[in-house]
Amino acid sequence: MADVHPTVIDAPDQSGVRLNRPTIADESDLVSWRFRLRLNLPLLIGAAIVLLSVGLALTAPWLTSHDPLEIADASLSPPSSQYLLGTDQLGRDVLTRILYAARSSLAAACLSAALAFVSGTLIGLLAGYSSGLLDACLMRVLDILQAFPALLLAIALVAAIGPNLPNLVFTMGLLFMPRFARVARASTLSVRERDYITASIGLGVSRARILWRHVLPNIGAPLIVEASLTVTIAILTEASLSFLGLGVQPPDPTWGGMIAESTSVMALAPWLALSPGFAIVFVVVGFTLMGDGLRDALDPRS
Amino acid sequence: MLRYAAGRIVLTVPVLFGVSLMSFAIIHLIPGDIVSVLAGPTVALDSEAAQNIRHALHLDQPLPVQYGIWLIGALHGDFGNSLVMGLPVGPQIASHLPVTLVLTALSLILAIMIGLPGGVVAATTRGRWPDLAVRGVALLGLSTPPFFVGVAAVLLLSIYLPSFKTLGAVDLHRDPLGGLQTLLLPAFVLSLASATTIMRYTRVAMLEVLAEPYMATARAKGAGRLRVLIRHGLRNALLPVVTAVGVTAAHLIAGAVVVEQVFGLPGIGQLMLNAIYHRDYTQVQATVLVITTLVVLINIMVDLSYYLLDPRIQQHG
Repeated sequence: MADVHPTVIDAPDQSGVRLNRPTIADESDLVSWRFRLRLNLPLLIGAAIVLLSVGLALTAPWLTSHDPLEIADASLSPPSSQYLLGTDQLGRDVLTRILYAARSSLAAACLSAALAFVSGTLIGLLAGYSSGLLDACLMRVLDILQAFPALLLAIALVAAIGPNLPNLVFTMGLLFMPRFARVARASTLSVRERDYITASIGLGVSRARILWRHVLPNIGAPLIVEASLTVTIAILTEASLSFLGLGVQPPDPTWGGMIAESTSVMALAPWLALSPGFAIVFVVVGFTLMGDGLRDALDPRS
Repeated sequence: MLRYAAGRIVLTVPVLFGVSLMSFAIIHLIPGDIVSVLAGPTVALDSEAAQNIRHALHLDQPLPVQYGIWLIGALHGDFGNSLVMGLPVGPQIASHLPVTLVLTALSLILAIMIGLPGGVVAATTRGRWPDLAVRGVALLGLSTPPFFVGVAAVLLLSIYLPSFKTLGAVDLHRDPLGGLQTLLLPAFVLSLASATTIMRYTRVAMLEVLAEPYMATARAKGAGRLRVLIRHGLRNALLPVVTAVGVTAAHLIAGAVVVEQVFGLPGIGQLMLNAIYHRDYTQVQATVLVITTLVVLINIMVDLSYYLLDPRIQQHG
């Protein structure tokens, strides 16, 4: 009776108006979505870019002979065989710094998305399954959180509690939590009306077990898609924060910070601004393609 | 209409209340005693000077009282005095707001001008190269942080078009035309992400409308291709597009904070960031509250525009 079918629900957006995408739960399909993940081109390309980026970030210390903080003799030297992407105004190797910046950027993005995923799903499950007063209260809190433009609240919160990696993860996790809570709640609302949930209640299964064993597996697909797209927004948010000097602090490298530092010497060394920018675009394109591909692969309608 | 509008506005009161509470609370998240931050480490926390600062900022009152004093002041446009400059924050915000509003409005217009035709072209050429090209550009637009586009644009223009004024002061009062010209490039940079969002929504909505039987009927009765596309197609696809415009308007205001920083524009975003860099917390509170209230108001306007666009809401509304 578990894992009966996929349920893909569009979360109502903030203003409560839905897009015209149909909402379908295919009752007759008895195969779990986990076994029906159809591969498609965007998914493959996206996953390849993501794996490559994560791999490069993890193996950074072995890939380069330089240290991200090491100051060479030549500052602002153009790309050469020794410094593949040149050096910055302090003579640090740009390629090395981009690789090390990928570590903090990807860590902040993935950890905050994971935090938002877990906390948002829990809140959405609770709100959707209990309904009533608890649901109403939780939803109003989410309304307030989502009333703030995410980047604005991130800037203010990080500035208040201090710019470092754990605080970035916490802040972005809090900001992205409502996205997951809304998706989880909407899916839970439809799943809980199904016969197999009624049957479980009739059998005397505990509420916690119903949520864990019967509801959660059936609302997973849209949450996974949301997670992939949230990582892209998290990377862009982290980049904006570090561009404004509110990310991981110097001398540790960040993509946004490298672009900000490069603006003062832009005319002399254009490669300084361009290479970290292309790194951001590359990784975000990867996660976006993966998210779009996952949506197509997990969506029973397409 | 009035009843619907009134109901919609009443619903936002609790949200605005919560927003004000959070804007107020941010200042109290700062670890340690704020007086030591303000007065410097040399001033003892129990000295008379420290007590005077506490009293002046109402920090000797209980938190709910502090919040009450601040909120009542804010409702009257009095956000307290800047901790760094000592001047009232309200007039500062009033003088910085026009640049941000003009920048945002200009970006929104550009985003619609780029996104709407792009989405229609992509939908009508589904699967063929114009569709793929538009979608490819959209993917890049969504994946590129606006500040990077800004930096790259300034870089390219300074090399290939040195006469183009990319950075510089904007004075909308004394020189409105020159100000608008200076705002054009920042507005374009800011509009890209929104343009792609509007384009994606338009494409999906148009694809659905194109499959409707009344489109074929309109063609069959002899209406021209363009006329069918716009009068029968786009009009019916407009509702989700309005959603996109609403969603992106909120993003635009937040994005303006960063873009103003790239181009050195004297908007409210610059005011907020300067306040953050100088630890001017009353100014941070006030700017966060004002910007977020603006976003909430935009969302109300979007909801009301559904009402005007969609007769079905009027019947049930």
